[in-house]
Formats: sequence, structure tokens, C-alpha cells
Amino acid sequence: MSINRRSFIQTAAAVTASLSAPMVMANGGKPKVVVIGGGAGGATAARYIAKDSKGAIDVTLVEPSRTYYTCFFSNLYLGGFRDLGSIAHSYGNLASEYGINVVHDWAVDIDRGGKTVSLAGGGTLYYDRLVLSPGIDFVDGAVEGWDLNAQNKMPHAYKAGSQTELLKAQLASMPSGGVFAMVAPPNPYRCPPGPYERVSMIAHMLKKSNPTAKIIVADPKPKFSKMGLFQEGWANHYDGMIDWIGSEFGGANVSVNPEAMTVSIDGEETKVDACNVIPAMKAGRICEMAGITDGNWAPVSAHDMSSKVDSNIHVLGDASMQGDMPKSGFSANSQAKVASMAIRGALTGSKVFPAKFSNTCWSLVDTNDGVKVGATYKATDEKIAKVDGFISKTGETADVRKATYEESLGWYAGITADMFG
Amino acid sequence: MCFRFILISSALFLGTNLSADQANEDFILPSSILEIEGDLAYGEYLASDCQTCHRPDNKNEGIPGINGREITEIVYALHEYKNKYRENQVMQMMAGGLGDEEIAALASYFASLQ
Repeated sequence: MSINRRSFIQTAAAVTASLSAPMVMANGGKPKVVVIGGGAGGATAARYIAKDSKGAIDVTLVEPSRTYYTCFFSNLYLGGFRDLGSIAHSYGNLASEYGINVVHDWAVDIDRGGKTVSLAGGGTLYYDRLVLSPGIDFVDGAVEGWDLNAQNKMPHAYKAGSQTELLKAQLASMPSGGVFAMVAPPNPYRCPPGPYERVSMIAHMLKKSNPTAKIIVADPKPKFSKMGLFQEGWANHYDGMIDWIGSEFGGANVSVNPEAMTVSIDGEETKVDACNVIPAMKAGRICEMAGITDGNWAPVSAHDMSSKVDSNIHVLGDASMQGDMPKSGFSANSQAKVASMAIRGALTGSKVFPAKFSNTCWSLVDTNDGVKVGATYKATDEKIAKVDGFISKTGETADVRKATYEESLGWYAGITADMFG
Repeated sequence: MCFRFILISSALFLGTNLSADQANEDFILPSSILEIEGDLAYGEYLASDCQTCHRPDNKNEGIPGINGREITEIVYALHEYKNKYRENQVMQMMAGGLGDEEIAALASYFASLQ
């Protein structure tokens, strides 16, 4: 949508006018925003609300981890392109530079009537607006034979950190000519190209250290994000190493036995030396506890990311059901800015502009072989709707692919600065 | 809202109309676009989308820092991406969704930063 100056001023004025004057808080003092989850959605929202309200809003960020490992670029750690420290971030700047009250604890309950959040440590936080950005949890029983008790034998590595380290160690310990299996997730899930970038990075690592090793991917889907680009890359760089089994060939009919280290695909059992199980996903459990989910996800308004159940709660990123945007760190960061603007507008009367969203996902296939897919989005009454998009082309020159990879490095530095200050 | 840009294939106006960062000498923006006064507050909001990649510390690593550039330079760059006179799929897409007022707002905001 393009708008001329006059119409945008009218729109902005109308939106602002529809809001009440700065809220008088029931509990006195400055308005309070509590943000649960310190990833790409939550950290960005906390920082933007604190930064742009210039002290007019008290912001508390609840995040259990003192060190946050980004899921994005964790595959590059598996491939040996990044060390773990380079994807680790602290919340120190958000506290010291932006005055955000950073609480390292788990939110265990939300009282929507009383507008309070209960913490595992026993504390209670009051909010005028609540931002939920808890990321994903896994659907129980999604992969037969696998549950959280098995995650040490067959890691998911889909929340970055110790799980990612574990998977990397298991890959490094595989015997010569051994077998690695991945159980890929059904749609919708966090980071659509993520499993396939991971396969690429593991192939890159094995090609150097264990070149006769095999990779099997059991996939419940008939196709996947950037499929043509990944398959081109796998043929070019890792010919014969990767066997992708889609749903048409039994990829959805999977069970695992973590004790025996076997994977059964469409009735055929294979002994494996390392196995990455990425189960079906759902919104982080706090959304369910807040009573704002419909099925596995939390539906939101596209205009301000507010819950369709409770307009005082905004849900960002993977946990939200918003329409056309993929579940990605970039999407969560983009949604956080729209929600932050709306929250400031509601609590302090600041100007609110029409929502705009964007996303780009970069993936690394092999050294200097980067690919990308992206789109822009707008808010409609029904959903966040795609406006325009692009995808890398097969057969691009090495220079283009190298520039795409370098661009992804710039993006990583940019988004992490945008999240953590 | 659409706008008309003027394609001039001869070198008649070269040297007078080219900005330092103009990527293509055939791409000339009319004064009606160059003279739009950008709204800083709107630019600040729109810029948050850009700052996912273009870093606040203005470092040029993989993606260029754009803080403090001249307004005209930024206006030209965005219109050139929008009209595919500059290569980069992400920027063509991002600029493709911007109207003239939005480009002016963004240029004013980024030019105001250090």
C-alpha cells in the first residue's frame, strides 16, 4: 500500500484519535508492560517500548536464560562456520542502557482479570499490557517413540544452546561411514528452511570429517521451503550423501527407538548413529495457560498483534497465528515493532501508523553458497497478508551466492543489535 | 499512488542531475518527488524495519550503514531499487512497497542520524 502525505496524516490522526488520552493506571504510577520471552520478538519489543517511550513506560522482561543463544545461525555452528560464543547474547545492555527490568525467571501463570503474571520464583508482576513471545514448545506424541525424556539420545536442537552442542558432539562421534537421520517437522513450524539448512551444514561437516557417512531425512511434507535451491546445492556439493524421503515415499510414517538408536520409516527400520528429531510444534505453553490459544497457536489481530481473546495481551513471533508470515526471527522482530508502536500509542497517546511487516530468511548451503527468500506484508482485518516476495534463483553465480552469504552476516549483526542493544 | 520518472537516454543532463550515489545515469527523478518534505516521526517508525539489517552503529559489514547520508542520495537509492535500477532482491522488495511519501520520510530520518 502506498499512501500520500495527506491520507497518511488523516489515517494516523484517526487512529490516534480513536485511542483514549494517556491511560490513568489503576494502580497509579507509570503504565507497566511485562514482556515474557527474550528472543527475537520479546527482546525487540522490550527494547523498542523502553527506547521510544523515553522512560514513560515501565518495562519488565521475563526470560529464564541469562545467556540467549539465537536459533538463527545455530546451524552455522553445527557446520563449523560459527563458534557457540558468537551466537550467545546477554541481557545486560537492555538493563543498563534501556532501563528494562530484566527478570530471569519462568512465568508460570497469568491472571487476565487481575492483570498479573506469577513467576516460578514466587514473585508477581502487574501489567497494563502484556507481551507474550515464548517461542515454541513441542506437541506431545508427535513422533512415535520420542518425548522429552529421549532428547539426550535424540536431540531436537530446535531451541538453541545445550541441545545444539549435544547434537554437534554426537555428529562428531559418528563412526566412519555412519548414518545420521533427521525427522523433519510438519507445517507450521519455526524457521521453515531451518531443517534443510541444518542438513546442508551437517553434510558440510561430515564431508570433511566423515565423507562416507550418510544422511537420511524423513519428512512428513511433500515439499519444503527453498526446496529447489537446497536440492540443487545438495547435488552440487554433497552428491549421493543425502537421502530425503518425503511424504509421498512414506516420510510421514515414522517412529523412533532412542534406546536401540533405530528409526523406522514406512516400516523399514534403520540403525542410526546420530538422530535429530524435530517434532511438531505449538505455541510456548504460557499461551495455553493464559487461555488465548486456538488449537496449537494464539490467534492475533494483524493490526497490532493483540490476542483475539484479550486485547491487553500481544503475542509475537512463532507462538502467534497471524496469517501469511513464516515463523522466523525476522518475522518476530518485525511484528515486535508494530506491537510496540501500538502499545505505546495505547499507554502514552503516541502516534500510531499503519502496520507494515517484512521478513527475509537466509540459508547457507555450503561455503559462500547463501540463498534467501523474503516477503513484505500488510495488515488486513482478516490476517497479516503477503504483498510481495522474492526467492534466490537456481543457477546463480558464485559471486551472487557469496554476496548473499555476506549479507546474512550483516543481517545477523543487525538483528542482534536490534534485539539486545 | 504512482509517479512518473523521467528516462533520459541522451547525456544531455548528465553532470547536473546526477547525485553522487545515483546508480544509473538514465534514472532521473522529477523535482516533485525530490522536493517532498519527509515526516520524521513516520520515518522513524518505517526505519525500524530497515534497522533489522542496517545497524545503528552504522558499520558496513555485509550490509552498508546508511545513517547520516544525504536525503537526495537515499531518495535516489530507494527509487532506483524500487524501479529495479539497482540489484538486490531484498532492497528491491523493501523499496517496492514504499510510496513517495514513505521514501521521503525514511530519507529525512536516516539523514538525521549520526
